[in-house]
Amino acid sequence: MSIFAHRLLSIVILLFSFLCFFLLAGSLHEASQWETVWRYRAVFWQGWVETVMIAMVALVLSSLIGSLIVTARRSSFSWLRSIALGLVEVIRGTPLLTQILFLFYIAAHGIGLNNRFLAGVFILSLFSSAYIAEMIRGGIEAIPLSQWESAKILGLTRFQTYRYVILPQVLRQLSPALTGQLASLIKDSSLLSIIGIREFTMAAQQVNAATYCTLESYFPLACGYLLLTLPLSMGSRYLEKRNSA
Amino acid sequence: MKISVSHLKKNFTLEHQQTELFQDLSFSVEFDHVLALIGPSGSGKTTLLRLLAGLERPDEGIITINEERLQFHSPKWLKQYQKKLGFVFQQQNLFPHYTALENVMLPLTLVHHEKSATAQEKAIAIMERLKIFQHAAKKPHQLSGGEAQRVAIARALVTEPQFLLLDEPTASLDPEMKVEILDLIAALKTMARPIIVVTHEMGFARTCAERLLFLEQGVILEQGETTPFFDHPQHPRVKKFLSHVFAY
Repeated sequence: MSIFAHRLLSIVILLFSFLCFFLLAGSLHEASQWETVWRYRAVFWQGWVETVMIAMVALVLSSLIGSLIVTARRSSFSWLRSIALGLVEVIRGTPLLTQILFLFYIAAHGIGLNNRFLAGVFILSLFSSAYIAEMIRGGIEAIPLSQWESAKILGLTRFQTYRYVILPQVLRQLSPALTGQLASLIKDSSLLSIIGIREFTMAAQQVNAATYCTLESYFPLACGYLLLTLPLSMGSRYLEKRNSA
Repeated sequence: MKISVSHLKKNFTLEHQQTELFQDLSFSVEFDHVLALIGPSGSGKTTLLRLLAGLERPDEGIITINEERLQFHSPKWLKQYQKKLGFVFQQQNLFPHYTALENVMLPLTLVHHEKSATAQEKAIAIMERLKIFQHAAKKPHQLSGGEAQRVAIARALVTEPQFLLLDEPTASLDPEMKVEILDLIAALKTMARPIIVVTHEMGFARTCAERLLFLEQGVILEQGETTPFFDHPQHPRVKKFLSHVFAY
């Protein structure tokens, strides 16, 4: 716990020093605009909440799609395995920004899906699911053959083997990586601003456009993301420690 | 218990090279309590045991156990068959995320659909009998090798299998624990359940087994009752093996 408190303290000090530095630098050549930006706090708040919502929904959805991809990757049908592998390669081989543009302006419009939130969350989930799927698949393949054989000789069905023997071990091993993936998801969601979803980054862009106070608009943005990702990375580290104990 | 094997063929692919383990193995053996499979490493003892358990599939040939032919092509049949046998691996293969008690209960609740209370009762009874109940709440990594092997044996026995297959159950244990486990297996004889054991422990085979099969390079060189086997081995290779093993 003392290490935890120590780390937290050093992070706070670091942030505070940055803040002081920028405030000082800003106040040297012109009057600080914090009051102006403060008036837009509701915009920031709404954007931040939207980002949290997107990340939450995308986490659930990407876990679901990820599980489907793993199932397909481990299927006994070779054509299903090929499709899943192709999907994973395409998703991991192209930038998220490209996928957002392509899937939103071409695919989503093509099928008449115009709800930006839905489309955005789905695209983000699809992106994340490829990474989650590969993690889970790696985790499953790391379970020794002897565990499968034990389950088999005891008479467990394939489903029972996954449910009671393999997946609990995989998830325990993967919990740090999956927590890290959630942090990535939160950061990646900022790219959804490109298709006009009013999430946190979009909120900061709007405030900047309205006030011309760049530092004062983007500094809260960085803090807001850190507020979400720091506890996650600490949680991830805690889980890692617990697993190695 | 009666086992017959006829014209068994089994190939392995090791590093892209096909090796023939069993070319044309045929034998028949009948025993009441303990059958020991012995022989040098790589002789095919473990593979034979795994074939008997339906964990491996022969390329050709027929295996019958108590006049029932093993249907390797039918996963459904194999599943039912495997429910009726107990198998203990060389490494204990317990599930690391469950406690010892949960490991023993698992086949009862999941496979034999027993109620949790009944399963627990049965698991506790067998664990007490194998003197392992004091470790019931521990996870496998908190158990010593010998304790874990006892739990594995308890897990194999809790479903009251028709027979028990043991694959070198003492191979990964230190000498003292070895004795403990061998004593335990000897005591299991009284459970009136046939046991087939692959072992390197010749002393144990001699005192505990009633019949022996000696394998080398996929061929049965000699089989017979224990006392004549050890006192008057026939095959020169078996003679040499035994004289080496008992040299110290």
